[in-house]
Amino acid sequence: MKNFRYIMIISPFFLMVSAFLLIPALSIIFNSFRSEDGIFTINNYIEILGSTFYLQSFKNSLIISLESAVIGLIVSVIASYAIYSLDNQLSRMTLTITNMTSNFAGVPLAFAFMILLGNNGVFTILFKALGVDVFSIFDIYSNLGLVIIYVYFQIPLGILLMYPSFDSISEGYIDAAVSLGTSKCYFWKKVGIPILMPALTSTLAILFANAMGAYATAYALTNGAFNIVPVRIGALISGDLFLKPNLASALSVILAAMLLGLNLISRRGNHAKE
Amino acid sequence: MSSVKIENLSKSYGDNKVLDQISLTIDNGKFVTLLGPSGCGKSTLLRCIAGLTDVDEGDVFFDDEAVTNLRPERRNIGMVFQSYALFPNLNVEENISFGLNVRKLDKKIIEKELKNYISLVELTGKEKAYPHELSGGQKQRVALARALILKPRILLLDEPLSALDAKIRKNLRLQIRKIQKELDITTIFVTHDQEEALIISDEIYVIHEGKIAQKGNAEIIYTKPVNSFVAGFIGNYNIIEDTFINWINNKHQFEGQFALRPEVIKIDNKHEEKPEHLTVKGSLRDIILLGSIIRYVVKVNEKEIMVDVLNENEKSMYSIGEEVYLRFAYKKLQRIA
Amino acid sequence: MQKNKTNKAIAMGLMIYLVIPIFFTLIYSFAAKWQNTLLPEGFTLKHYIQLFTTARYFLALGRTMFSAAISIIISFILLVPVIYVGKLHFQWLDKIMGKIILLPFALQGVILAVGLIKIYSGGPIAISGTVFILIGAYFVVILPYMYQGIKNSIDSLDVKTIAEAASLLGASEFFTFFKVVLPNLLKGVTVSTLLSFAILIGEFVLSNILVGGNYETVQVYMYGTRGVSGHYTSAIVISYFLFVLIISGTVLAINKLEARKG
Repeated sequence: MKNFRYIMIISPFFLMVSAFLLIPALSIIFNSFRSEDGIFTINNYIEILGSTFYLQSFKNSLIISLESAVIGLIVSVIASYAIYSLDNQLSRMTLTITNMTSNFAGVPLAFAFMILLGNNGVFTILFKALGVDVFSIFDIYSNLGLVIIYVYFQIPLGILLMYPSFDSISEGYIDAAVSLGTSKCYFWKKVGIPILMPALTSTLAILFANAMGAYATAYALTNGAFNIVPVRIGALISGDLFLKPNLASALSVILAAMLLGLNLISRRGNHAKE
Repeated sequence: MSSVKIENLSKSYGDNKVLDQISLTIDNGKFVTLLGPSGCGKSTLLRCIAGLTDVDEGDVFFDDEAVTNLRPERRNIGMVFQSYALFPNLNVEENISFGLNVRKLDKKIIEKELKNYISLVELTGKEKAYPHELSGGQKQRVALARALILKPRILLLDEPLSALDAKIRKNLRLQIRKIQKELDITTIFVTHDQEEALIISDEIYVIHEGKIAQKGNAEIIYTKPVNSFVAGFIGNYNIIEDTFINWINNKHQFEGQFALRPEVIKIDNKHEEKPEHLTVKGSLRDIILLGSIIRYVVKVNEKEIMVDVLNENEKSMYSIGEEVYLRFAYKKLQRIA
Repeated sequence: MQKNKTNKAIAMGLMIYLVIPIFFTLIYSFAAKWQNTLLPEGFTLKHYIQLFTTARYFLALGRTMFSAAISIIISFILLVPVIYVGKLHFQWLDKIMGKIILLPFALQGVILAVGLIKIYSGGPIAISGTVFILIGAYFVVILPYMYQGIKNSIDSLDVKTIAEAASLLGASEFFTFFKVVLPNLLKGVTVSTLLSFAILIGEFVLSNILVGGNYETVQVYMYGTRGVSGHYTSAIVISYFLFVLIISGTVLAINKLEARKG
């Protein structure tokens, strides 16, 4: 009787979760195995695997995500260590700025970079005045351009994830190691990096997933012309051309599986830390 | 205030029998301690008395009224928890008057009671402070007042001092005992600290593996442990086998296992016979300074025996490796098995 | 000493790098004309005046805030009983919740849109293009953050003992919940609420695909102005960033306050 009452008060939550999370998830999986006419098939997956266009979108997504995640991780580790070693005031200021810019992503970020590095961008003109053609070095609307923009939102996130784990390497450890006659280098190799390792893998996985799922930045930068997986999926369900929601579902299943995998990796890293 | 009677109380979690056929009686106004190591079932027993944990078997009576199936809020008991369990969004006054407010008593009565109980626990001046602004000892006194203001039939204290540091612990236990006597309230106190139990209680129940290992007042528990568990838990007893004693003496034949308190053994550098005493030679292995006591560890025939001596000279009279003689009266051997 | 200088340089470099895009967007938003010249040709407030006299912008901002606030409130009201009951009565709930809050990471942005649009475009509940589908989607987006925030808050309260203490003092479970648990929760979840708010204000893909022009949010409006004028767009970006700044500033201030208290 009492249990019934508790079940009553928790059921609205499960209703909402079913309606907007569980049923959509199941529907994506179900529809990915249906042709646009409603017949059971695995053709959607075959089409993806046989299409250079879709394969290229995966290739682009993976390369851009991996590059931006690795660069983002390296910069955040160096920056986190610097912040950690600095005196209070400067480190607090840096962390505040990091925190505040961590929400600067998506559409406004793409616009800001267009103002900086677009065709009439501030830096483009500046470099032109110096006699350098920016677009001969790189194009903001290319893969490399996207990596540069992605790195911008990866770094604050990376720092916010990495910074706390430097606390687990106390000065005491380093002093202890030095007092035992080892070099600092040896300390980092044998103790420091192994302690940080779980945080490093976990952060890398989160940054990777963060870039894999990102849609708005690339979409706003090129009006949806960029060939990465999230943009492809979006085009198949809301583009002006012909819509193929079931093909979009198949792409979604593959992307979701990757994101889930990355998330599990990051969680394992976090648990090892505890 | 009420008496408490427990009959054949049992409680299991899965295959783990936490309480096994416990029966006990607590008289009106007594301060009783349930003492034992963690996991022995003492806290579960207290929670069963409070009604926070359902019992599998047996009954709980307050003044011969069965309360076994009564919900906790109807038992009219006060309880204090190790973690204080103060309501963090309410200040001292609001915490203490919580129970009175639930009962929607007259504002004037609440004010008056509040004043009495705040001064009883010596928190006058702290009425408007919030829990996070109080020290551990102050928090626990708020919790105590919050429980007492409802004039419960029984006060239950679940390791109330364990989270506090040593000095505050000593002060607060005296204060608790004083208040308990003043209000003459039946109190059940749970602790794993034998020193605390010996000092504070009218009666002690030593609990071991869900059963009562021994009951009695502090003196009985301390001087006459009934088994090796109680002997080991209460003091630093030497546990001695009959074969060992029979090896030392040839007059009497002993049988069983015995406990021997370290402070009843005399240590000497020469052999001296006394009637009804046993004397044995050993070699000194270690000297441990325990403040006012010096503890000698003496090896006698492969067995290490502890001897406590009052530290009068600030310096040990013997040195490690030296041959010493140990002497104790037969009657100090406490048979435990 | 030398090492400290390097660290200082790294921190300064990082700050400059992070601020540059925002700084130049700010300058750009005040520039009258800035094409093919090194420096802007004069400054003006006209883009901001234009922005603050555009009703469409404020309507979009209002829609964003409304849908974000409603989904946060719904999330709070529905999650609190689940976590509370899970803590006190149904221990098995915790495991299930652990699995459920993983799902939004897999069903990120566009993927969630695929699932929702298929179900709610037709059939018995055709809410696609309305605020309802957006609120539902937002509920999913913020679920992990709200869950973690509420759970941490309840865990730090030691609700089990608190509930026992209150029941021994004669209070009903209902009374305890409203008098003791809820006031503490409201304080504890401020940070995760503001974080959720900041995330939702920055949300683009779901609002663009699920409701688009039918319920124009601030991000969709911002995206729509890209063809109008770079200066006007940058004024929107700056005012949007200021808005986010206020929210994240509040979060930082609260965190600092908590740390001092803790």
